[in-house]
Amino acid sequence: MNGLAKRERREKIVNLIYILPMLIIFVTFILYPITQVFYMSFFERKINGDMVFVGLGNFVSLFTSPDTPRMFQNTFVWVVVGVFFKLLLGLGLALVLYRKFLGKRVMTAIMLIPYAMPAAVSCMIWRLMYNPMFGHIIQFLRDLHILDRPGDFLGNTRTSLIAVMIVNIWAVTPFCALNILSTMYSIPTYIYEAAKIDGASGMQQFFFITFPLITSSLRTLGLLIGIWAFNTFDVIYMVTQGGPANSSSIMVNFIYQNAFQFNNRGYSAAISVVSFLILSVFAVVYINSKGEDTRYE
Amino acid sequence: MKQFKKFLSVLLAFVILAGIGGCSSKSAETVPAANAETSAGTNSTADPGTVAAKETVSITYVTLGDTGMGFLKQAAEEFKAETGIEVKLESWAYSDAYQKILTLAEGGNMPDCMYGFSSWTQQFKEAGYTVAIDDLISEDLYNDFSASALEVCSVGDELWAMPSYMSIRGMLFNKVRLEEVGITTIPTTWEEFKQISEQLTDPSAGKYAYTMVAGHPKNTLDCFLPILWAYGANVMDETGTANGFNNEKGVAALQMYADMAQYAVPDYGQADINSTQNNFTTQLAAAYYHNAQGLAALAEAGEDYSWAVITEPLAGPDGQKYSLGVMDVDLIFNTGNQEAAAKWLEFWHTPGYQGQVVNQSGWVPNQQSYFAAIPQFTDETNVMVAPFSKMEPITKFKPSITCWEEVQKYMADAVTKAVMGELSAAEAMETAGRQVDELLTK
Repeated sequence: MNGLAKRERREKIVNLIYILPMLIIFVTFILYPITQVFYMSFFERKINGDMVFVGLGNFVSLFTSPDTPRMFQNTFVWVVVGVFFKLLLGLGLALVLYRKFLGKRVMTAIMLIPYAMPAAVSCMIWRLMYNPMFGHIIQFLRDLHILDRPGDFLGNTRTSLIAVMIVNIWAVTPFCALNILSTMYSIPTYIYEAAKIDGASGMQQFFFITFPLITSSLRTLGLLIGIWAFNTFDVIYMVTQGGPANSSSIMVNFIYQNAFQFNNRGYSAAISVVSFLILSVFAVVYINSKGEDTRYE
Repeated sequence: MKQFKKFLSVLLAFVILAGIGGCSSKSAETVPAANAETSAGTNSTADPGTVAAKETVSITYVTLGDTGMGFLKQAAEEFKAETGIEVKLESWAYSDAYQKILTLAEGGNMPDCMYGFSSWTQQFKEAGYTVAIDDLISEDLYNDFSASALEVCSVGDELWAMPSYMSIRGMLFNKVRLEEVGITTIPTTWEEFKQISEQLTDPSAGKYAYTMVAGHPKNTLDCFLPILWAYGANVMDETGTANGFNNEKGVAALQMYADMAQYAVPDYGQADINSTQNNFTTQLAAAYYHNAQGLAALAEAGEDYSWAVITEPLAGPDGQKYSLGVMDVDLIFNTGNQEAAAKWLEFWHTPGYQGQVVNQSGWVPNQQSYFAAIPQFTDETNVMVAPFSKMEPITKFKPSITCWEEVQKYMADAVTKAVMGELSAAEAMETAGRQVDELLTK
C-alpha cells in the first residue's frame, strides 16, 4: 500500500514536470498579467511611471462617472440584444438551409461570406453603405420616402450603437447558423418520420422535436458568442471608434480609451477588473451549462 | 523514452525561464543607461556642437507620417559631413506616435529628438522625458521664431519644445454659392452667417451652408474652439485650474454651433476635418473653417478654385475673432545626447531644409528667415500662406496641459450631445465643465 502511494506521488511529480513548460507560460503570460491588472486598479499611474496608491479610488470614479451608466447600458444591449438576434437569425437561416432545395450549396457558401470576410473589409463596406451622402442605405430609405433628407446613422448618438450592432449581427449570424445546422443534422431522422406518421405538423415538429434537441447547443452557442460580443473591440473601433460621444462604446472601448488615449492605466485596470468579474459569471454559467439536455432515445 | 521526455520537459521549462529572465534583465539594463545624465550633455559651457560631435556619433530623429523625409535625408547627410554626427531617421505613424513614445520612454529607449505635437510639451516635461532647450539652441535661432510660436512652446519662462510646422485656420466661403442666392457681401459674424444659412441650404439639391465636425474627439474642437473664443469663452479660466466655458458665453457659443448644424452637411457626426475639406472643395458646403490645403489640391489637379474666398474667422457678438493655430513641435529627449540633438535641429530648421517642407506642405512659416529666403511666403497670390500668415496676430492655440486628451474628449462629447439634441447647450457645458474641473484640480 505504501509502495503504491509512493508510486502515485512519483507519478504526480513526473506529470507536473511534463506540464511545467505550459505552467510557466500560463503563469507568466496569463496569471501574472491578470494579477498586475488587479494590482494596478488600486493605483494611479503617473506619466513618468510613478504609481500612487489610491485604494478603491478608481472604482469610486468608475461608478460615479457620468459616462458609466451609458457604458453598462451599451454593453448590456450589445451583448444581450446582439446575441438574441444572432441566434434568432442564425436559427432562421439554419432552418432554411436544412431543407433540400436547388442551389443549397451555393446558398451556404454565400451565407458564409460575412463570417469569412476580414473585419476590416466588412467594416469599410458598411461604413460606405451607411455614408449619409452617398451610402446605399440612406439612398434606399430616401427613395422609399422614409427619410426626407440624408441621415447619419453612424454619426448620431441615438442610432450609432444599433447601426454597429447590425454590422456585428450580420457578421456573426452565419457562424450561428452553421453551428445550429450541424446540430440539426445530428438529430436522427426517424424521430421526424415517427412524428409525421403520428400526424405532427411542421410547426409541431419544430417545437416538439427540433427546438428541444437543439436547446443545449443554442445555450452553449449563446454563451460563447455572448463572451465574444462582450470582448468585441475591432468592429466598434473600425466603424465608429465608439463615438460619437461614446454612444457606441462598450466596456472594452472604455478600457482602451483610458489606457491608451488618456494614459489612465489605473482607471482602465479598474474597468478591466469589473469586466473580468462579469465575464467570470459568463464562464461559470458556460461551464455549468452542460445540464439536463433533452434526449429522445 | 520516459527519461528523455522528462529531460525534454525540464529543458523546455529552463529555456522558457531563461528567455523570460533574459527579456526582463535586458529592459532593466536599458533604463539607467538612457536616463543617466550624459557625458555629452553635461558639457554645456563649451560649444555644444563640437562637444557633442566628439562624444556622440549618432542620434535618432523621428518624424511622423514620413513628413519631410526627402529633405530630412538630405539634411542628415550634409549634417554628418559637417559635424560627424550621424542622424538616424525614423518615421512613425501619427496615430501610434503617442503610445509608442510612452512605451519607449518606459523602457528607457527614447529617440533623441522627434517631431510631435504642442499638446505633449507640458506632460513630457513633467514626466522628465524632455529637456528645456533655451540653452541648447543659439540666440539667432531663438530670435528667428515668431512670438506666438515661442509662447506655445514655452512652459513658464523656459522653451520646452522647438516650434515646427504651424497651420493657421480661417474661414473659406464659396462666393458663387452666395451670389446664387443674392448675397454679395461675405458675412463677418456668426450671427450674420446663421441668418443667410437657410437660403444657402437645400438638402434635396445637395446644397448646404456649412460643413462641420461634431463627434470626432479631436476635430470637433478644431471647429468649435474659434466660435467659443469669438463668444469670449475659453477652455480654461485665467487661473488654469477651472474650466472657462461653463458660463453664459460658452453656452451661447455652443448654442450657435448647435444651430449651425441644421444648415450643415449631415455627416458631421462621423466627419473628420478632411471630410469637411472635401465637402467644401466638392461645393457641397458653401463655407467651412480650416486652411487652404483643399484649394491647393484643386490647383494641383488643374481645377478652378476662383470661387473660393478666404477670410478671417467670423466674429462673435462683441466683435472678437480668433484663428485656431495648430503647432507641431520638435522635442528633445533626455537621453544624454541633447546637445547633439539641438545642433541637428538647429541645422534642420533652416530655409533650405525645413523651410522647403513648410513651403511644399502648405504650412504657415513661423521663422522670419523663411519669409526672407523663400519668395512663395511673401507672394500675395499664394493662397496657402498669404491670407493665413496675416491672421497670426489673432491666432490662439489649444492649451498644452497634461490632461489635454481628456479635456478635449469631454468638451467634444458636450458639443456632440448638444448638436445631436441629447442635451441642451447649458446642460452639456455643465457636464463637461464638472469633468474638466475635476481633471484640472487633480
